[in-house]
Amino acid sequence: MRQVRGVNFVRSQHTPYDNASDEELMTHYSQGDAAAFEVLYHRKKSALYRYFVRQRCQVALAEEFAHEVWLRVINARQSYLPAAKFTTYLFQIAHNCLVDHFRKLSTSHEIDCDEQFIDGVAGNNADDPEALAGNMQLQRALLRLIQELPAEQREVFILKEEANLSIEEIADVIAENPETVKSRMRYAVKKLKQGLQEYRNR
Amino acid sequence: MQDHDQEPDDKFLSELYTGLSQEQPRAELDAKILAEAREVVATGKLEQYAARKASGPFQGRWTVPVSLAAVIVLSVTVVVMIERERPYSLTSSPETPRIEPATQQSQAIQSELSQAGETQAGIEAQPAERLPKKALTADQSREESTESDRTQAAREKQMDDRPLSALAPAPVAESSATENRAAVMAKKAAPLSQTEAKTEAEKPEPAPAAAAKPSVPVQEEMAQAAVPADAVAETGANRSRQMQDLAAAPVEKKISGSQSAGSVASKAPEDAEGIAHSPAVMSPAAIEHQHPLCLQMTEQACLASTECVLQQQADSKSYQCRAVQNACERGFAQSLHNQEDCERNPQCQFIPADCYCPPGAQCVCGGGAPAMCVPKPENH
Repeated sequence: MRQVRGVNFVRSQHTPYDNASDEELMTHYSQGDAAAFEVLYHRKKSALYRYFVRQRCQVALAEEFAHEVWLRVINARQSYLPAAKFTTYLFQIAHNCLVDHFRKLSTSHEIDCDEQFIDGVAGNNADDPEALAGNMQLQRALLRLIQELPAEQREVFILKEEANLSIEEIADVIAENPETVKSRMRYAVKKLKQGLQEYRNR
Repeated sequence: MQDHDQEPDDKFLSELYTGLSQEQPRAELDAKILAEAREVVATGKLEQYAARKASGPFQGRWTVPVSLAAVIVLSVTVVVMIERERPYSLTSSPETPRIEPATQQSQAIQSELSQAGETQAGIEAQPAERLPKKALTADQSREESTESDRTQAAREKQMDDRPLSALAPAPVAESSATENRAAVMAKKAAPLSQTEAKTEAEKPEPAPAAAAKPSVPVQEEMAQAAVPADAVAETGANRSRQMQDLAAAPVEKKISGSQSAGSVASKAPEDAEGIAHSPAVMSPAAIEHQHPLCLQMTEQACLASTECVLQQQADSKSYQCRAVQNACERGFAQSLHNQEDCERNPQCQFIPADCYCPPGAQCVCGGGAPAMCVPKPENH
């Protein structure tokens, strides 16, 4: 089981909610406990933020979307029922937010990331300078390949990598058939691999 | 559940993706969202408390029962009130006015007429003593009318409980006094008519204050005085309608209907001119003696009476109960619609009701003239 990325915040004090599940935290919050929401927010904020950033390549827009999603969660606290996984619930809201946005703009899901954004996103977590340079190149290539994916495939791939959701959960989030999701995922991975291979062969 | 049976290339792809920089939202955004979350919780508690407080004690589980109870109580009240307001309903209540046989009505009216005739003879013998007292200032007469109204109201209340069939003659003294007063007021209200001139000439002392009084208040007083609660039990609606009709009628017409107390015998031929062509004309004295009693009748009683006729006014379309004016009308009860009774006299002609609806009845149409029995027009 992979660790969910973005849960890297450091809390100096142990709170009674450290071992609580996301669903328990949201239930506590719906009963009026703001501290539970704080813990929950810190667990999920990075994944949600990157879900937007990696799809739109615009920091300001991503912050706006993230804010909107969290506000919806806050306002819907009374009607929240822990029937499904909270992550699924959260990314369902995020998906709907994006769909509303595209519908409002009447534009396609296609985006155009500039080089500066890609340079900023490319990681630098290699110690060896050569490896660092190679990794950065690969990461830049990966980012570019992700942006070149069709929107549906891109979203499925990001949901899997960022939110660590299964095929079924992703299908719930985007309201599609799991087979469709699996197909999209397969195509996305295949394209990324081919792209990276081509990049390596250069 | 989790789809982690990835190929080595897939793992490499995931690791490569994980190696991307970990963007985070700005701290300002974090603070903003967390503050909003706290604020919503805090104000939400207040809102819930305020909503509970504002909702009042009848909210929640008591809303529906209380609403239903209120609706039921109101409905029952309205139904009871409607039933009480229609005592003359032709469909239901036992208090429905029974149309008395014409003979009983006729007897009752005859006895009342005879008593009224006696009293009026006494009144005519001493007009000079009574009329000046009545013809005082306007204020005094108003006070008197207020007192008499109170008395009448009490009497009406008593009479409301009596069935219509108990159409007993009223105490003659009171009735005559009322008639006398009505006649005086009517005379005051018509200063330009011949009647007024004659009456004023007969009075020992003129009443300047009364003469200067405008005619409209006089009409109101006259209307009040002309409707004592002597004869029949009647609803408030009927009463008010009759009073409105009387008040709306032309002054001279009312005077002609209220002349019983005055010594107007000399004027009788003039009144009779209008019906002189009829072969079945009554004596003017008889007409004048019967007027006050007919004026006091309700529409129902007037329709059942064989001595009075309910007539629709041509101009105001209101109904006025007047005494019979000819032999055709005498003995004909409008409520029976009996054409044979009317046309038994070959000189009479039956005119059926034209969309007339008696008070309290449910009719398809209304506002028209009741059935009449009139003399046939002469063929020249």
